[in-house]
Amino acid sequence: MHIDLKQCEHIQKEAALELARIASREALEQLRLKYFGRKEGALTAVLRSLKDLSEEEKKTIGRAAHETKLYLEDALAKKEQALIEAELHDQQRKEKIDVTAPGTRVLEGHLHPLTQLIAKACDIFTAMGFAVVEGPEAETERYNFDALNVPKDHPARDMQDTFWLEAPGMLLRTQTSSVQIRYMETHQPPFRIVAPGRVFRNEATDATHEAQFYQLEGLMVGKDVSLANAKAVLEVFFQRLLANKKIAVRFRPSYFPFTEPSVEVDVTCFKCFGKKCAVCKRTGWLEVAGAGMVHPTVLANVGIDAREWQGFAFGVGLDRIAMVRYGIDDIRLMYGGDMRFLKQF
Amino acid sequence: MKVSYKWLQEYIAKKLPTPEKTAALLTMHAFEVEGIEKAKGDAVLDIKVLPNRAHDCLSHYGIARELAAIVKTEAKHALIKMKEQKKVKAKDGLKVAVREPELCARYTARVIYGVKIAPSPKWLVERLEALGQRSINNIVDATNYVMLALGQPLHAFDLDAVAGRTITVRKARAGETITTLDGDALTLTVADLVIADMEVPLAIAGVKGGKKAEVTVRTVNIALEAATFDAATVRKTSRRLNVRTESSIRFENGLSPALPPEALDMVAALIVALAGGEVASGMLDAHGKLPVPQTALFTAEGINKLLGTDIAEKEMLLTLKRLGFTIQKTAKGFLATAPKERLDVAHQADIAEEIARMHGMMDIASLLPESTLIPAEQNNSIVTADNIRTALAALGLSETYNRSFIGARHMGYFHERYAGAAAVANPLSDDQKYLRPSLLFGLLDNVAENFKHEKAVRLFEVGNIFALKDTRGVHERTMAAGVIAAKGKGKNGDRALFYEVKGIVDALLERLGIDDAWYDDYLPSPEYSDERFWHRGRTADIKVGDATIGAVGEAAPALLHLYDIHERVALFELDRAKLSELAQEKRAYQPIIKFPAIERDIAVVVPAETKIDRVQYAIETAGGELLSDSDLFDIYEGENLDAAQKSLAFHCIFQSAVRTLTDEEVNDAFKKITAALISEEWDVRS
Repeated sequence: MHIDLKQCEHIQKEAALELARIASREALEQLRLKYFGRKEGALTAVLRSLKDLSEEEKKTIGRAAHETKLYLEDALAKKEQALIEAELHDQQRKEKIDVTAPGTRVLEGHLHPLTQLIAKACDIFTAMGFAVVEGPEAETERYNFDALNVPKDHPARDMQDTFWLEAPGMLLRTQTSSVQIRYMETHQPPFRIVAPGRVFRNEATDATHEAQFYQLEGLMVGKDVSLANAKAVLEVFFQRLLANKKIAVRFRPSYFPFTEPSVEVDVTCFKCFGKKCAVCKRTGWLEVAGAGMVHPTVLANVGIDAREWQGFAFGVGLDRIAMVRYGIDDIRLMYGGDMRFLKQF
Repeated sequence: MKVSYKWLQEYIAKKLPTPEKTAALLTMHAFEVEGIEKAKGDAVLDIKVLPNRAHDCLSHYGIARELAAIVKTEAKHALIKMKEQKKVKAKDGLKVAVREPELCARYTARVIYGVKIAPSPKWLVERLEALGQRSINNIVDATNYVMLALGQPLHAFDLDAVAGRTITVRKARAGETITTLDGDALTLTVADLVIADMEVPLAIAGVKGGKKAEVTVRTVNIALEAATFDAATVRKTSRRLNVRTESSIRFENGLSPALPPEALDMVAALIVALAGGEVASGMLDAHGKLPVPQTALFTAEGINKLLGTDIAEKEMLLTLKRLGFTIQKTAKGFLATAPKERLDVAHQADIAEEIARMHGMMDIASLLPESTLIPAEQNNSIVTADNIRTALAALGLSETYNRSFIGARHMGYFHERYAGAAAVANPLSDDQKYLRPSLLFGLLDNVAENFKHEKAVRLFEVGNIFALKDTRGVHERTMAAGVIAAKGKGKNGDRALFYEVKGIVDALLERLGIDDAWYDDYLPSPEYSDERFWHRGRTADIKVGDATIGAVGEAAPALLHLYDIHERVALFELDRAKLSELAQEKRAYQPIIKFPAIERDIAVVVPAETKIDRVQYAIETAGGELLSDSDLFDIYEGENLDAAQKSLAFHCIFQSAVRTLTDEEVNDAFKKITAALISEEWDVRS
């Protein structure tokens, strides 16, 4: 076989034309065999016959043949890549699904809104150096009343309707303040604690009253811990809890037997943020806590010298905060175990 | 207490702001005003006086003094001059004897002769009615009016009905009766204090008057009483008899013995003005040692330190003066003497409250405390509870908070065991008579309720349970409990539900870092598993070492019946304290083995009652150290097997941490396992 330059040109031209018409990888393989096939490949034949050429011809024709080979290899590879891409593209087109169909439901549990609220509250107070402590729900009269300066046979006891237990001298704690006493009895000041927990009041149940609910008790005692400090700590707490720096705290005079002075704690209504709405009875404020300076008699009752130590205590009603925050209109939902309710948190 | 705006103005020379503004001032400086009602030419404020000030502020004068100080002035008494008839002496017409000086600190009385009983004038009727009082006649109305003015309850007796013209303050005799002004016949006990004549009780001291000496249209001569009765005694009697009156409400807060003479003179003067008559000269006054006005020592620095304020000493002194305090300078600071009717002043803190209120609680500026930076100590019990909650929620259980009470009906199901349950002495209802002895009751209730609208229930709770400790106290523990149930699941005795809940417990314990828990056939124990609660065939005690830390299983069929649940229900309950004790926060990393694992399966047919635990133990013991793990993947009962047999299939995984195992080594170990199982007389099919 004798070859010349035209032949190489011809092969290249023809192959390019054929390649353009190819639509499948099978056809591409056939084309590859047509040129590169070991026995019948057109280019294989050309390359094989190069050895018969003179040195002069090898320089020109050999180079042209080699270029044709490189060109074809490259063209075939590119075509193959294009075909694969087209195939994958086609496959994905065929696999198209309805993305608006619902996702598969993953089994997931939900934490109770009060758990979430308490966790957040404790995080804030822990960051301010308050230790989180607990106390029993079934309390003695001493821890719930006597040591807290709530005298026997006094109307102050009526402020909190009490569930008494048949076990003598025992009751269901009406306030988490009992934890203060337990803590102060066993620790030396200064201290900073919070105590979240369940408390009980002997009241008929309705949309806004439950016989059980949650409070967060706080206590800070030091050499010069003041009522103004209580205001600042509560302000920071509510601002962080409600993620709003505009929340303000307002004190009003009140009475709790275990603090003197005693205050009601109002915070900027976090439903309307002070714009005045039905939730805050158009006052712009919500009453969410009670606070005051620990009564000197309470300090004396736990053996702390009131001339040396002073501090504040507060009790925050958690249910109301959760209810306003989440728009829950019936407190009974909190204790009803209804999964339609629980799954929303 | 209902308070007349017009009446308050009578005590204050300065013109008061509008009723609304006055209400706002009182709320921010003294007592919360809960409502304002417009009355004819007046406004009635509903003021919430709290127990610390009920002794002096359930009165117009008391409120006026607060209000006067708020508007920076002083309240003035509107006293009516009283004239005595010198020739007639009170002590000639009436004798007073206090037999119980402990329960009656002071008893004062006056006698008026020749009154004319008539309806009250219009101004008095209107004023009383606006404040929610019923007008009776000019005498009774006068006593009520003075009570509303000064806070001291008063009583008028028909002097001619007082046998022996002698009033004795004594304890009632057991079984003694009295017919009250309302016509109720009440039986008294020796704990009650009465005002009696020579024969019978005329009134229950501080609570209610009796019929016998009632002032009626025929009354001509009267005896007036103003006394100080023991607060606790009045309170107990009032509660026992379920008679609450304007008088008893005031007495149970404890009144100052300084009040009666002033109130008595005021009422006598008013009665003469309204009903004529002559006041006999002299006040009968029986008392022991009268208390001196209360005092407290304070310094301006001390008060500012407590409040975190910078209020001037001058302002403090002026405020106290307006509130009726007198001040003396001493070497240790100022000595503040409270007005005679106030009984709530003892500490510097009490003075601080007066200053803070009048200065304005809302004007106290926030001041962050300066404190050493000591991070709070971690509370392991709380951390464990949080970890339990997070783990169970991640395992697909939602958290519920159930009530701490359970009813007599459910308790009744367990009557034998739970005779030791803690009972509430004054429950809201029979449904809430007991404190829950387990969290499982609430969870079963949740299942029954949720099945009304849900196909599956997966819930957990972390909460406290209660049991009687001996006969004295209550034993309280925090538990973590969960429940799973699904409609149709567990039909025909399917055991999947049990293993699912057990899987949840396994995963929970693993999350807490408790890796050596095991399950034992459950034994009814008072602590964790009441036998009437659990399914006898499908319950396990959860143990670590020899200690039981909880129980897991299905609820007993009879119990489900009690809750009207018609599906299988699987539950668990664990003791938080024990979990907290066992939980490991530290975990040790095990290097990942680089050498390949070789897996061989083995099936073994064993008698149906043989425990899987035992078979697995045999495999693991025989497998030696080359066997890195064994895994049950199938339990089969039924076709091709005897009824009394089951087939168990395990994956045996052989792996070494230091080299690639050879086939021979693995075959050898596997043969040992087979041999061990055969030696137990089990049928190996692999």
